[in-house]
Amino acid sequence: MPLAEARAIAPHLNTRLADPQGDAAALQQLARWFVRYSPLVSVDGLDGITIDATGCAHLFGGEEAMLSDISMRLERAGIYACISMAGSIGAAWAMAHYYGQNTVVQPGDDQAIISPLPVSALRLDKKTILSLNRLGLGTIGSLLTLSRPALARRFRGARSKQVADLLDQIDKVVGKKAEPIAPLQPLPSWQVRQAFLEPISTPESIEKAVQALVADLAIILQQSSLGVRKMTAVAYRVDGTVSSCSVGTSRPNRDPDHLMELISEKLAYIDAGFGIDLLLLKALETEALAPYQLGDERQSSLKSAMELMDRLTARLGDRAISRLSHHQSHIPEQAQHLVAATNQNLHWKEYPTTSLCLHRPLRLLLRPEIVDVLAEVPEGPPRRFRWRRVLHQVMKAEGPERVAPEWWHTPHGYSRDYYRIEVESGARFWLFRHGLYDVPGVRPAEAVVPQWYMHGLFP
Amino acid sequence: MHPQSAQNDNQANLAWPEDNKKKAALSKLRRVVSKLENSETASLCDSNAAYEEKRAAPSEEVARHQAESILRRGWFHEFWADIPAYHTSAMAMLLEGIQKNGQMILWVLTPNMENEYGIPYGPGLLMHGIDPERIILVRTASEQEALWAMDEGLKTSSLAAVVGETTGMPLSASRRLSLTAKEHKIRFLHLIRISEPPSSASFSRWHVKPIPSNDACNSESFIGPTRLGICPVKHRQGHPPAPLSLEWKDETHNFGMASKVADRPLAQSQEPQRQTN
Repeated sequence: MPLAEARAIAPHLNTRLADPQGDAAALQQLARWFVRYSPLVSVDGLDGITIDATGCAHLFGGEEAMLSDISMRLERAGIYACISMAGSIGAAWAMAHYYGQNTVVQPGDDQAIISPLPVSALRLDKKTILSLNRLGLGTIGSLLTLSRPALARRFRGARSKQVADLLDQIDKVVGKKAEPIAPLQPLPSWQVRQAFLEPISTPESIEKAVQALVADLAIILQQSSLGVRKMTAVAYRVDGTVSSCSVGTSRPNRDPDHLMELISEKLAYIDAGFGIDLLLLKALETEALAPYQLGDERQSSLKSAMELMDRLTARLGDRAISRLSHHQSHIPEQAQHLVAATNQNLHWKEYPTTSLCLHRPLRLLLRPEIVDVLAEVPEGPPRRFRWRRVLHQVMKAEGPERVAPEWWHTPHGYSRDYYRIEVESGARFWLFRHGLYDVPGVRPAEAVVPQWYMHGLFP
Repeated sequence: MHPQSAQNDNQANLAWPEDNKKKAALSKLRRVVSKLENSETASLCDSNAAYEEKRAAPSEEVARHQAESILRRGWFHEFWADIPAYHTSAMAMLLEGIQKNGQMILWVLTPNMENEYGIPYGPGLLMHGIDPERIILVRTASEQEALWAMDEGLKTSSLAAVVGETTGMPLSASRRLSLTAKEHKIRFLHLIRISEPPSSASFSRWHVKPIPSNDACNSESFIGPTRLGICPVKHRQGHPPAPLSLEWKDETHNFGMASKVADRPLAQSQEPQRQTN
């Protein structure tokens, strides 16, 4: 119906522009909030949320209490909802959409309760519903009484997928076929929770509550000889939104003081708003961590270095902390890579130190810098060069050391001729000429005018 | 600069030897005063030495202590390059001090220094006897973050040293870092590139500069072993600011005193000649 027509019928009609994207985002947010009831939550279509509450209801005082808690909180947040709980997702979906009131379907009552519901409660496509209605099968009950071969016979001539879907949905609604949930968030290995009678909102009280949770988690981890690698604190606010913060560690750890130190850096990101009524602390990734011997100096020193890296990472970010790793390449800038601080295998044992003792600088510039060079002969070392606006007079030059490009990566790359240069002040530099000159009859020129670059600094 | 800190730091002015009587008397007096002032300092150093001795096997410890005696644990040492091109020499001198100790090194770079000098290069570090696996590199986005990372590193007693590279830090920051270093008995090594001598709370300050290399052939196409000129321009225990020339020894893999080229009789030079090229 066009809007003009609707307005003609009801002049006081209240209208709003549709915002499908905003609706979807709000539904996602609401689904995240539902993780307070169970970790297995997924969004269902445009307006539904599915929760697998297996084993969770007793935490809220039983199924009835859980359902009334959900409906009370949603009502308080101004959200109108139909909620039902049943043995299968299909049955719960049918009840929520077609029963009209919040219900808990007790085990065994499924068939009796869903029988009077229309066949559209089976999540079927329109074409199938239409054919079922034409066949006089109006309710789920009438379908359930028919034998499966009889049902299939009625659909002779239809696409086999349509029949298979119909049988599939019937199986799902009676619980004969399991229906997996794709959870919104990764499932934690372990989680601890703290609900509050009175919502908390001050940073001090949040910190205190998280501290207690960290201590609880540490005890659980110790009992199962595990250490946490990734941990998230999730705060559920009274207005139905969720905010969270996570930390990672470079080695499995279960020291409550250390974990608390890491997470307290991030607690500022939790926005308490009007108050928080539930806090969850989830260990998302855990690894085996055997108790270590007291007095083992090597282990404890490694542990404290790793804890330092964690603290630095928590404040400065992953990219700020790195370690030097060796890569087998004769291109100087590729012989060393920066890798994440957690990386233990750095390959420096493979670096050839004895066979070929080539001089390498202590510092390598981030990228080679162009220098203006005056050389006596084109192929020779520089006599004088200007780098960063300072003119240096070359006293001694050692080289060249020719580094050819890796032809399997860069077939048309230029060779480099490296020189160690000592200038009049005694400072030593690593310069290279990029590209070779033409040698008649031997090889053509690589570059018309080779460019000089500064690449590293010697002590 | 604050007048009083300037007074404390005036040893920092490059005092290469000179025959000025008044200056000699002044510097002697200054040493006496600093010794009186630092009687507490001295006792703390001794306790640190005892602490280090307890931490390692005795035989290793003797060698390590000798190598590290100039860079005592629990103190703040500065390596100062007054000219940009001298920075790497100061770094080599710094590495020399922590070479024997096998523990991890926290290396904090300010964005400025990273852009100007790049990052420490593993193959070069290996040549200077430092295993690159020991280095934890922290590249920060601001000076403030760098100071925080240094302070945090100084609270971890299992590190060989915390190295900070800056172009100068405020006096209060250096005081704070020196106190943290003292409390946790960690060496804080500050690699500083600044033209004027900085005012800081450091225990010692070493001015480092490269010296043209020397070799018997005096050839233009061969660079001899690395030579550094160092001068302890400031030392709380009153070491006189005497300049030294050091030369890299490939045999022992460290810096030793550089000998001048002299016309010595042939009989004394029985040592095997170093191979050139």
